Amino acid sequence: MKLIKHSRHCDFINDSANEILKILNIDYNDCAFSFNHDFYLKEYDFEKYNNKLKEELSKYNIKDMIVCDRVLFEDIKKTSFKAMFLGDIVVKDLLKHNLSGFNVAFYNGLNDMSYVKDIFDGAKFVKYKNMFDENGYRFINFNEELSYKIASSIVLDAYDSGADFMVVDDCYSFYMFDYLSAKLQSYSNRDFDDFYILSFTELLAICLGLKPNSLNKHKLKVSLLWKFL
Amino acid sequence: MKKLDFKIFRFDSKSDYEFYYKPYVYQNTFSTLKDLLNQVKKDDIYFDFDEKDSYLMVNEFYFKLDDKIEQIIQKCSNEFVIEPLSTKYAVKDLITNDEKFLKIFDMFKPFVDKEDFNLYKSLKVYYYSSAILKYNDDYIGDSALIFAYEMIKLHGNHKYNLLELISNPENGILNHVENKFFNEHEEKILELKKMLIKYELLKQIWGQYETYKTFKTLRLHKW
Repeated sequence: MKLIKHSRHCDFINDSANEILKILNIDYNDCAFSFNHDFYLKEYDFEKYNNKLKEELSKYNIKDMIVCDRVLFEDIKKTSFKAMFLGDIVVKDLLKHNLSGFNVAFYNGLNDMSYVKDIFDGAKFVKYKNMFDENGYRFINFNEELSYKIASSIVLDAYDSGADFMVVDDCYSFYMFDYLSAKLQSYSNRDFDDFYILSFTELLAICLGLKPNSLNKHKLKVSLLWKFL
Repeated sequence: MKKLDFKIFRFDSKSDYEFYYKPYVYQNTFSTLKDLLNQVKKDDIYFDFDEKDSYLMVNEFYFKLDDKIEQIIQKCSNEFVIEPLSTKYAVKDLITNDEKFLKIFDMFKPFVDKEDFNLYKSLKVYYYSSAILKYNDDYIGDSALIFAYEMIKLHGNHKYNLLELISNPENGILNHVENKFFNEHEEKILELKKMLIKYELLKQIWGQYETYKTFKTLRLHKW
């Protein structure tokens, strides 16, 4: 079993994955993977993109893999390579906390996050109108303002709907909502500094009793969850 | 007999400042959504809807006027909210001002026939259900993309011109996001994308993209 650590992705997705797999008692090897997620190629010539991904994966002699980033996982699923997403291998009984008492906004814009309902069954799942809207990343290269408009609408909708924090399971959404949060606040003229975004990996690590180092690197500071740690 | 407990979006651009949702209760003696609305129209002289409209929204799902009430109850329960295709463009209750949607046809006029306007009009629901419309109301709509595809089949000699019309980065195909309600036309839109690359109409975008590629890489490394 190989743990895919995409070198382009930030720590927010990969951090604590090793410790998580140890707790879940899964035998694995690290695999630093580098692949240019060419969004436009994927949208406009998927066959070429898929072939490039297959070619890259073939270099690593991988038979089974665990992937922490949902977008990468869904792409790999479309190749002939066998992969599992981190969310699919969680053993609920090993969780020290089930998020009871927290109002959580899970983001379903790129991929459905309904798998979390079985894992964090104590959480109150906040419904917000824009939760299924795409994160705006596709516009960032040719219409930056539009991408900020979309991303800020999604974050603000989750914030205004009473969520304590938001959870995403891919690095592009994390980038749009956390890394660009200053731009989103400036564009929308709204302050949401007391809100924060977590990756699924980080949230899982916290609920397993770990303290991810990546929490210190967030643009939107993680506050409420310190109670757990 | 089941009781139907529903609300309808009400707004009159001539007299109202704000919209509201008016509640209604009826015994379910209706076959279709159209029957239900006709009864409401009979009982409420101030209510209006367009029978010629094919789709409306019920609990944020799209339903045809000819859809059975039972279908609606199955998906939404017997408590539901009926809205027009767009609350933003509503002028009278469930009737929308489709001027913006219809005006988009003007750009196709030099390359299509007058009769093709009927096909364009029939694609209205694909305009209003376009995912990005609520964020970018300049977007020509998934309707324009589907229409361009059909016109390319009908008027092949204007293929390049038709593709050019939909390739503007500000309002064209680059704004298309997979339609989660109606995905039967996604294959057509994918074919359009391939045609745009083949005819190098996206070359300008790629040109920009090539510049941004480095920028994008730098951004990611900054995390």
